[in-house]
Amino acid sequence: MFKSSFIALALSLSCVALAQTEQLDAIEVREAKDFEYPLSRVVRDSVVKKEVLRKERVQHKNAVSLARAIDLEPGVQTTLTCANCGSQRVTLNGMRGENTTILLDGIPAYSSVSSFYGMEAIPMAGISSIEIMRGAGSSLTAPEAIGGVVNLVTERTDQNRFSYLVRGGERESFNQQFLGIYGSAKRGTLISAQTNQLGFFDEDDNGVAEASAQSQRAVFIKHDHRPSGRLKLSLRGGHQNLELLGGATQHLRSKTYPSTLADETSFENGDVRRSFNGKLEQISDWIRLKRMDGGGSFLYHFDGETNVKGAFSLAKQEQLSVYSHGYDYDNDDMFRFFDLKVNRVIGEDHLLTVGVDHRNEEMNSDSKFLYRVNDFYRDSFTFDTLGVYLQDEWFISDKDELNLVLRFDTMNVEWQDQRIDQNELKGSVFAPRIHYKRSHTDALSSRFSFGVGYRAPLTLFESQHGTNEEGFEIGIKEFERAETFTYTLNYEGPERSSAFSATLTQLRNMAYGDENEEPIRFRNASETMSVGTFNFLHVEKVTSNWTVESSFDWFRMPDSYKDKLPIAAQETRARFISDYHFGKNEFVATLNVIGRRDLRPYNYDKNYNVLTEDPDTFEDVPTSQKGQTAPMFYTVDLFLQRQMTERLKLLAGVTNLLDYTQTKAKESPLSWRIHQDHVHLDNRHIWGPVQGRVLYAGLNYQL
Amino acid sequence: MKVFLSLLVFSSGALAQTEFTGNIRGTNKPCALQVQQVYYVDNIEKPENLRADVKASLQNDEHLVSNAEEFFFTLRPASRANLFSGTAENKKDQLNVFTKEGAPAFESVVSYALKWWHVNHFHSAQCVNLKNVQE
Repeated sequence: MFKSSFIALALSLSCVALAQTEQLDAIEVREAKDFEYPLSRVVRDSVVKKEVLRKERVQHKNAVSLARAIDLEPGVQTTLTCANCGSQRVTLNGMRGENTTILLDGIPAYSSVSSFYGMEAIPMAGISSIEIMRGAGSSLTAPEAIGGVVNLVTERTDQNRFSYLVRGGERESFNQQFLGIYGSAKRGTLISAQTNQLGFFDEDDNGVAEASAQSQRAVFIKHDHRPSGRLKLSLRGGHQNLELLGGATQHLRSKTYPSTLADETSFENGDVRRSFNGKLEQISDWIRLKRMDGGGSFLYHFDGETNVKGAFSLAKQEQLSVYSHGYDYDNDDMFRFFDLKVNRVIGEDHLLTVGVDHRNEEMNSDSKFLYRVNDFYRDSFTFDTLGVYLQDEWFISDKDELNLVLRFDTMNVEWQDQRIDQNELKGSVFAPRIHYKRSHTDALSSRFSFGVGYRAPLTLFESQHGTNEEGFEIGIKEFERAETFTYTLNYEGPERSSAFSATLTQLRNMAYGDENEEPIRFRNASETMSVGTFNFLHVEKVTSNWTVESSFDWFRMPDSYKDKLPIAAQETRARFISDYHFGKNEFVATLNVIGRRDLRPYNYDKNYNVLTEDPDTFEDVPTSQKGQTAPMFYTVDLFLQRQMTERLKLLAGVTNLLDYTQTKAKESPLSWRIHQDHVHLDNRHIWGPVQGRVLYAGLNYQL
Repeated sequence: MKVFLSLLVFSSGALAQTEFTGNIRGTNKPCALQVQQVYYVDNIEKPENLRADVKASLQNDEHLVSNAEEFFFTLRPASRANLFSGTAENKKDQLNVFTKEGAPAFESVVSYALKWWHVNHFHSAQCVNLKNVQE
C-alpha cells in the first residue's frame, strides 16, 4: 500500500527539477506535511536534503531580492564583493557565487554572468518559497551545481488571490509588491510586480558611500493550463531592471570612465577615512541591468506508469556599467536551456527517468576604454553543453530509499576574442550522484549523499571585479569539478525539528585570476581545495504561540582557497530567531552572530588607509594597514505585524537595530591596495555589514 | 616621443654621450640612463643653470606601452645636492637622478627613479647599481 502510493506520488511528482506542473503537486503534498510538522525546514519526503525558506520568513527579513532573502540561511552566505558596485553574490557551502545554480520552478534560468549582479535583481514578489539544496550534485539532475542549487518556487495558479504590500522607511527605502492570481483547477494566471529602492550608506561621512544606492523594478507573468488529467502546460515571462549607484553620494550616473584614477591627492592627507576631494568619477560606479526571460514546460501522462516532461528557458540580460577603476563595460548575455525527460515506473519499487538537456549561452561585451582606446581582448564567449542522464529512484523498503543518477555532459567553451594560444575548451564530464535516505524512526532520518558537480569557467567578469583596466587573458585548461559528500541527521516532530549536516566538497581545477600577472591571467589552481561545512539547526515550539529557532554554521576552508576568494568568507556564525504571536500580533526578533576571523589569508594584508608618495623615489608608500582581524560582531533585526482586519495587516520593523557597520567599527571597505608595483584605490576590504539601521513600516492587503 | 626639451641654448662645452646601466631594484631586469648632452642655460656656468638631456630606459613587461620603453627628459638641479629632476613633455612622467657626491655632475650616476604615466595611473621604478659602461 505504501509502495503503491509512493509510486503514484512519485510519478505525479516525477522526480525533481521540472516546472510548475510538478510544483503544484509537490506543494499539495508538502502542505499536508507542513500541517503535521509546521516547524520543519527540511522537506521530509525528499531523499535529497532540501531546505525550504517560506515567504513569511522572507518578509520577516524585509528582503526584496533573492540575495537578501537567503542570506544567513544554513550554509548560505550572500557576499558583497565590492562596496562601490554593490554586487551581491550567493554562495552555498563556502563555494563561490558562480558555483550556485539558480532554478526558477525547477528550470535553470540564470547564467553565471547573471550571478554577478543578477541576484539583487531577482524579485520576491510572486515567490511562494525558496528551496536550497547544498552541495555538488545536490539536485539530482540539474546541470553544473558545484556549490548547490537554489530553486525559486512561484505561487500556485489554481487559486484566486490578490495582495499588495508596501513598505517604506529610512534611507529612502521604499518597496511595493503586487500579486494577482486568477485561477481554477483547469487554468490560472499569475501576475506579480515589484519596485524597490534603497539609498546610500556613507557612515563615515567622507563623501564615499560604503553601500551603493539601488533601484529595482520587476514584473512576472505565468499562465498554467491543465486541459485534462493527462496534460499540464505552463508558460512564464519576466522583466527585471536594476540600477546600482555606488561611491559618490551625489547620485552620479557617470556615463564616461574617469581618465585618471584616484591617487593620494584625492583624499585629505591621503587617508581614505577622511574627506574625498577628487573628481566624483574616480569613486563612482554605475551599473544598469536589464533582463528579460521566458520559459515553459509541459507534462503529459501516457498512462499510470509513464509520463514525459519538457521544459525550456530563455533569458537575455544586458548590462551597462562605468567603473571608478577607469573603464566602461557593457555586455549582452543570452541564455537558453532545454530539457526533455521520460519517467516510467519499473516494477513496484523503481521510478526510472531518462533525460537529455541542452544549454547554450552567448556573451558579448563592449567597452570604449578596453577595446577601442586600448586593444585588450574582449570578454566574450560561447558555451554549449549537451547532457544525458539516467535516474533511478529506488524505494528499497519503508525505511530505505535510494536515488541514483548517472549524468554525462559534453561541453564546449570558446572565448572568441582571446588572441593567445588557447581560446577554446572542450571536454566531457561524467557526474554520478547518489542520495540515500534511511528512516530510523518516523521522526528520525539520515541522509547520505555523494554528488559530482562541474562548471565551465566562462567569463572572467564572473570571478573578479570585472575585467580590470589592464584587460585579462585566459589560461584555463580544465573544467572545474567538485565532489561533495554529505551526511544529514534530521529529526522532525510536532514540537521540534532538528537537522545536523556535515559536508565535504573537494574542488578541483578551481578557476581564479592570478593577480601577479599583468594583465590578470585566469588559470586553474593545481591543488584540490577541500572545503567543509557543518551546520546545526534546531526549531523548538516553546509554547503554542512561541517558536524559537537556533542555527550554527562552521565553514572550514584551506588558506590556498581563501586566497582565491574575492571577499573574506564568514567562517563561524550563529543565529537565533524568536517568533512570538500574541493576540493579533506577531513579533519576530533575530540575532545574528558572526565569529572572529583572520583576514590575512584573504589577501587583506595589501589594504591600507593612508597613501603618500616618496618625493625622491616616487614610490607609493602605504601606511596604516587596515585591520587584519575581523572582530566577532552581532546584528539584530526586529519585525512586528498586526492583523488589523481580515484582509489588512500593518507591519513595522528595523533591520540592523544596533546600527553595527564595519565602518562604525573604524574599518570602512575603502582602502589603498597594493597591486604589483603600484597602489590603487579599492573598496573590497569587506568583512561586515556596510548598511546601517533602517526603520520601516508598511501594510499588507490581501484579498 | 623623441623630442628634447629646453633646446634653447647649447653649451659649447657639452659632454660626450655617457651611458650607465644597472638593474631595477629588487629584480634582475636591466635599466639604463644615457646622458646625451650636458650644458648651461645661456652659457652662464652657474650651478642652477646646469642642464642635461637624458634618456632613461627600462624593461618592464607589464606596464609599458610598446613605444615608451625610453623616456626623454631635460634634467635640472633639484632642491638638494646630487639630485637632478625633470618632467617629460607629457607633463606627467618624472625622473629623479642621483649622482655621486663629490664627483662632477653626470659623470658618475648612482641611481635614478622614474615615474611614468600608464593608461590612467602612474607606475614607478628605481634603477640602481648604475655603472658607466665605458669604464
